[in-house]
Amino acid sequence: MNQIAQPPLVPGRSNDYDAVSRNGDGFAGLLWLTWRQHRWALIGSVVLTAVLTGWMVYLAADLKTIYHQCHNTVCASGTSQDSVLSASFGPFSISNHLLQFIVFLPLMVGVFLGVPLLAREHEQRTLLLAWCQDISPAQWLWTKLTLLGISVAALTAILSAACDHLAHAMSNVSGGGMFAGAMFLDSGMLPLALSVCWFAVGVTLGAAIRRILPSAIAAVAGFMALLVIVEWRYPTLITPLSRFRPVGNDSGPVLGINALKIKGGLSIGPGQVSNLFDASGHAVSYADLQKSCPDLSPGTLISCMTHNHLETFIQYQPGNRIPEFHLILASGYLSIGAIALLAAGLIVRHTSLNAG
Amino acid sequence: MSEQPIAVEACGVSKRYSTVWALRECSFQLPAKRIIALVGANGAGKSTLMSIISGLLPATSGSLLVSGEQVAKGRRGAVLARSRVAILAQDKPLYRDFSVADMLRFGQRTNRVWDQRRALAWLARFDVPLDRRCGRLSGGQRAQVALAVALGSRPSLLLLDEPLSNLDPVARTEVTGELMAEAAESNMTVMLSTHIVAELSGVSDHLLLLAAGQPILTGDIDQLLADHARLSGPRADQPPGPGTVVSAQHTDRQSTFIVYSRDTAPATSVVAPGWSTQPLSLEELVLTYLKAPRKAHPSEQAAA
Repeated sequence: MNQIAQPPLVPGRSNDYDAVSRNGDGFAGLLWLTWRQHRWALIGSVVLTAVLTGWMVYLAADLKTIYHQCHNTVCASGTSQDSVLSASFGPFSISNHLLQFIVFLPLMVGVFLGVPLLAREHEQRTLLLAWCQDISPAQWLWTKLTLLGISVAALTAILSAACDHLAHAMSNVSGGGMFAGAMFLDSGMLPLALSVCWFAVGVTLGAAIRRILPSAIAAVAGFMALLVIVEWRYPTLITPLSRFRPVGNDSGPVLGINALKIKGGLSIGPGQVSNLFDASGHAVSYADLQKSCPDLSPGTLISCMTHNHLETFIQYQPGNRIPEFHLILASGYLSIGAIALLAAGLIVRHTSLNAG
Repeated sequence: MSEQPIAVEACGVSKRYSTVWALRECSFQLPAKRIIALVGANGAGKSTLMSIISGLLPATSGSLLVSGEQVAKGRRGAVLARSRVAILAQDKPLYRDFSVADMLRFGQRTNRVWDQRRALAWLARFDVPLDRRCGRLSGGQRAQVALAVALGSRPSLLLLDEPLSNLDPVARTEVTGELMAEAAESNMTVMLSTHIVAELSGVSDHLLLLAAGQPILTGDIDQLLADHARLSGPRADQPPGPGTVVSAQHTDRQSTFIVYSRDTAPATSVVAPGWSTQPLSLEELVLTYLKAPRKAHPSEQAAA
């Protein structure tokens, strides 16, 4: 093939194209196409990751400093460190809000990176263009999914590590809490697993619905539903431990650091009492309680029950089970992601386009 | 037909959307290295047929060969050079945020074979700026960019679905002229669909006429025009010469027949007094067949 000098495609930019070029297997082309199509979303993701990671590392360092100032224990109330921690815009409060925001980051991945992958192509009918070149639809889909999926995984792995670091710093200064709320959902690489999952779900919704806005709405609805289900069900993913706890003891020293109490509240109402037991494990009725503690006023009741060795029955998950729970949830998320990818592959395989 | 290379061969190709048949038992052969006009009314199945030929859409039944190779949906990455097909969809889709230069890079990077000079030359002919975003191009310029990408991939078969619909009359003439030149230079087969027959005069040399999802007339245009004639004379139930009547119109005193005769040219076969013969234009021929009832398609019957 003759080498024919070509004018630059764009003034000031050189190119060394042959008159007729023969390309390889198409991977390099798809790498370029993926970057060219999604570059602003990827650049935005990198910037957001850098900002959030830097912020979280800074906040974690702040919290660690306070923790060290309090001699590596929970700061006593009334100290200057405690007032900093409990301030509305103090490092603990900001960290908490940041972790709450990151709970929803996988949804953003799904909506801004996953959904448009196929839905935008359908809306603008550019699949007719992409799939008419020397690249098969399957090759187009899996290469783009791989490239974008690796980007999502890499960025959210960094974020997950930063979240985990921050959650541990928050747990230190607050004396626990790693098994509940955003501190649990954002630690242990769960943001990575959920982001990869929701990226895949977003792609599949876009492939099935073929419109960006309805797909994004479906993604939001699905994410909220999954979040509610996870928050509702995760405490009992493993059979909880149970024990009797003397009335008057708080959960920390008895259940261990970062334990999650599932059941065990003591209820004393007019004419009834629940979840109260004597030292031999027999349920205590309201009449029994009145006999033992005639004065049911709050000031004296607790000390009376403690004096009579009354106990409550509690169910809990110990803090050392957190990694197991993270593993179970991450496996669940990744399984949903894998099913979604399989569905996306099948949808693309059965997608027919009409030039008219 | 059998002596020249075949670009597309369809055998009983049908396509059904839910309960509606877009194509029904289509069988035809289209010669290679020609400009083929795919003509039909709106909804005749032109776009569906092109989509099936390009491999974008699977046929419900039947087989379709492009340059002797079976068309299979989703197998574009594995096609041979001789059966490379490019299609230009009716709405000329482009990536809106790509510049024209990016579109050429897209073509170069997603095709095993890419002719950058050809694509650039096409754009230069129509003064399309390379650094402008496709979303800011006019409809005509978008069509030129889409054509440049299609031509750059050096297809052996170029399918153009309503390619001239976004172009002004001057641009239409220029584009058809340039397309003919490109096809002649590169031995490419071009198949262009339209429902405006006037666009095709002097451009295409082979016709495939679709009506209600079925081919009703196919052949070399010159031969088809030579095989048909309009006979006018005093009122009669039958024309005075040999041939098959495609359509007949009668007034109180006059009859007009469109007659098909493969063996005897109708224009020279009428000797009856009071009768005159006139050749048909391509537009008249197409309209005659589109208006004629399905059973009166003699050329198709003759071909079968």
